[in-house]
Amino acid sequence: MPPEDSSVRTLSCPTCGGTIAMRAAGYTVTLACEYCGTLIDATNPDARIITRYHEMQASLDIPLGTRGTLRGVEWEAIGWLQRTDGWAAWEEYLLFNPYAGYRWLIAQNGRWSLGTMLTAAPQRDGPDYIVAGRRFSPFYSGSTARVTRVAGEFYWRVKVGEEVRATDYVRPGFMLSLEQDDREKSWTVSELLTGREICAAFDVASPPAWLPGMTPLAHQPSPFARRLKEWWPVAALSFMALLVLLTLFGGTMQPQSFSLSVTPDGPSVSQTFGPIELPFGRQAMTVQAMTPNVDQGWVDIDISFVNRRTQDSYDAYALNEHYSGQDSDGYWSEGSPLQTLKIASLPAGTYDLVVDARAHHWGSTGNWGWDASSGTYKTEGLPPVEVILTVARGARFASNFWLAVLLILSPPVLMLILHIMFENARLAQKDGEPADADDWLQGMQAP
Amino acid sequence: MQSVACPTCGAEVTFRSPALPVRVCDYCRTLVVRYSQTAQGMGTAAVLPFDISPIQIGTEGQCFDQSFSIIGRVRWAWEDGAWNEWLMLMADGSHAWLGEAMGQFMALREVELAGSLPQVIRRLMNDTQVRPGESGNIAGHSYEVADVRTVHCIGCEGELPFTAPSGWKALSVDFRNRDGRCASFQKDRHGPSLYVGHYVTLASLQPRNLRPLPGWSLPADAA
Amino acid sequence: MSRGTFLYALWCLGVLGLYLAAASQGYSPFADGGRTAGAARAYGPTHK
Repeated sequence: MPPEDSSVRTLSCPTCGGTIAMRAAGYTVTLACEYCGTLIDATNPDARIITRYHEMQASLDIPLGTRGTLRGVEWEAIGWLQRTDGWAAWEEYLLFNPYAGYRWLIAQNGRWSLGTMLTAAPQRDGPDYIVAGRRFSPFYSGSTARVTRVAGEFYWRVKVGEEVRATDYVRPGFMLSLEQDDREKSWTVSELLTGREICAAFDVASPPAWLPGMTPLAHQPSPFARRLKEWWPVAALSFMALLVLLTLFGGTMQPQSFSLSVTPDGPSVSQTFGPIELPFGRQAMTVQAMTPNVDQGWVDIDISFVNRRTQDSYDAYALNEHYSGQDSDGYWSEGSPLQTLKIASLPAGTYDLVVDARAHHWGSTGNWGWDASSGTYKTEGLPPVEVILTVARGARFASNFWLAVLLILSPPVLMLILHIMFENARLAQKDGEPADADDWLQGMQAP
Repeated sequence: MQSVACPTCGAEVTFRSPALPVRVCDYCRTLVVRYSQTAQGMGTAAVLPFDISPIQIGTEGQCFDQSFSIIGRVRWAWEDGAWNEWLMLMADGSHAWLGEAMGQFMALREVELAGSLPQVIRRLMNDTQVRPGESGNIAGHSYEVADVRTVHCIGCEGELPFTAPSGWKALSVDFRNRDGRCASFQKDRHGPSLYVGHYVTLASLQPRNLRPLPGWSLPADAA
Repeated sequence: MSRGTFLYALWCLGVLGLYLAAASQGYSPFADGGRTAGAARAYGPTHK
C-alpha cells in the first residue's frame, strides 16, 4: 500500500527497473518511463507494459516533477512530449495541479506558451474564431502533428507516432489550436509567456531576442510594434518642440544694405563696406545678394566678413544669373538674380564686409570689340550690373531643422523596418491565403 | 437525517439525504439499502483505488444557483481511463452529479426521458449504434456526440440513488455543445437515463472543505 | 513606460538640445559660408 502522507505513487519500470513516479493517480492513463521510454498502462493494477523501449534518457529543460508558479497557480511538470509536423519540432510539458487541472507548457525555438484546453468550441466569424472577445485569424491549416518522444504521465493513451490534424489560428501573443483525430476534437488556447514569467516559474534559459534572419513563432508579437506605438507620441512631441525652437530662434535683425556696380566682362570690382557690429556671442549672418538688372549673364560674388581686430575671414560665394530668350515654344528664362547666403558662427566683434564681384555676359546681344590685351572679343556698351547686398544678423538654417527631424525619426524608422522584417518572416509561414492588410494590422495589436 | 445500523458490521450508517436509498458503510463497505423502517445489505463495494481528486465527501459549494454538499461518488472506468461522478445533495433536497474527468468538471442533472426526444437519443435507447460527431437537439440546445464508450463501475462510496456494484456495465455517451454545455446518456440493464448540464471550473463552485492533498496547498479562496 | 521608450525620449531630448545649442551659436554644418580654412586673409595696409 502506498503511504498516505504523499500524493505521489511510485512503481518500478518493468523494463529498466527505474523508479517511476505517478503524480496524478486516478487521472493518469499512460506512464512513459523517463529513463527508457517504456509505455506502461497505469489503469491496470499490474502496470502492464504497452510498448517496451530501450531509449536514452531524454534531457529535459524542465525535469519531470519540477514545480513552478505561473499566474498564481503552482504547477508540477508531470509529462513531456516531443512533437513534429514535418517542418518544425516542439516540446510540450503537461502541467498538473489537483485543484486546477491540467495545462500545457509548449516550448518552441526557446519560447514558452501556456496552453489551456477549452471546454466550449470557439465562436466562428467568417474565417476567424473568437474566444473570450479575442479574435483569432487563420494561420496554419491542416498540418499533421506527430508524437516523436514521450516521458512521464498522461491522461490519455499516448504513444509515439500518434498523429492529430492541427489547425492554428493566431493573434499577437496567443494561438488557438484545433487538434482532431477520428475520435475527438479539442481546442486549446495558448498564450506566449514573457521571458520573465517562464524564468521565474521554471528555471529555463531566457528566450532569445529576435534578430533578422530568425523565424518568429506564428503568435509571437512583434517586439517592435510596441516600441513603434510608444515612440510615435514622443516623436510627434519632439517635432512640435522643434517647430517651436525653429520659430523662436533664427530670426534676422538689423539689416544693412550696401551696393556696388560691376561692368559685364569688365574688371573685377572689389569693395569694402562696414563697419558691421556683432555685439555678443557667436551668431550667424544672412546675406541677400541681389542683382536686379543682370540679364543674359552672370555675376560671381565673393563675400567675406573680416574681423577688424583678428583679421579672421568668414567667406561665402554667390552666383547670380539670368538668361532668357525665344524659341519654338515661346519665351523662356532661367537663373535667379537673387541668392541668400548664410554664414555660420561669427564671433562677436566689428567686421568689414569685403565684396569681390565680377560680371559676365553670355550670348549675341550687345556690341563686340576686340580686346588686344586679353586676345578675346568683349561686349561693349552694356549697362553696369548693380549688386545690392543686404546683411542682417542671425540666420535660420533649414538644414539644421531637417537634420534634427532626421535624427528624431531615424529610431522609429529603424523600428518600422525591423517590424516589417519581423512580420514578413512571421507571415511567410502562413498557410492558405497570402497575408493581407488585416494580418498586418493585427500584427500591430498589443498582446 | 436518518441513521440505521449496518446490517453487516452494526456500525451507524447515516443518511443525510431524505430520498436516496443507498449508502456505502464507511467501515465494512457494505451497500446498505434502506426501506421505510429497515435496512438491508446488498453486497460489498470495492475499495476505491487512490486518486488525486480534489473533491471528497463533505465538500460544499455553489452550483445550479444553490448550495450543495457532496454525499457520494461512483467511479467509472473504460478501456482508456477512469473518472469520478460525485453526487451533489442540493439545498432544495434534490440531487445532481459533478463529473470529474481529465481535470475538468461537469455539473449534470437528470432529465426525464419523455416528450419529444431527438433522433439520436431515440436511436441510443433502441441500441442503434451512434458515432461521434452526430448532432441532436436536447432541451432546446444543439449538441454533438463527443464520445461513445462502454464503461464499468469500479467502486463507489457514500450515498447513492442506486446500488453501484463493481463491474456494473453501462453504455455512456457524452454530448457537448459550443457554449460549454454538456449532456450524458447512460444505458444499463435497468434502462436509459439522460443528464444535462454544463462545464464548470472548480473555482466557480466556490468550494469549501476540499480534500487536502499532501504536498499541495489548497487554492487561496477555497481554504 | 518601458526602458526603450525612456531611452528614445532621452535621444529626442538630446537632439533638441543639440539643435538649441546650434541655434544659439548660429551654427550649421551645411552653412553657405563660415570660417575660411587655413590662413586668414588680410585686407588693408600692413604698413607699420
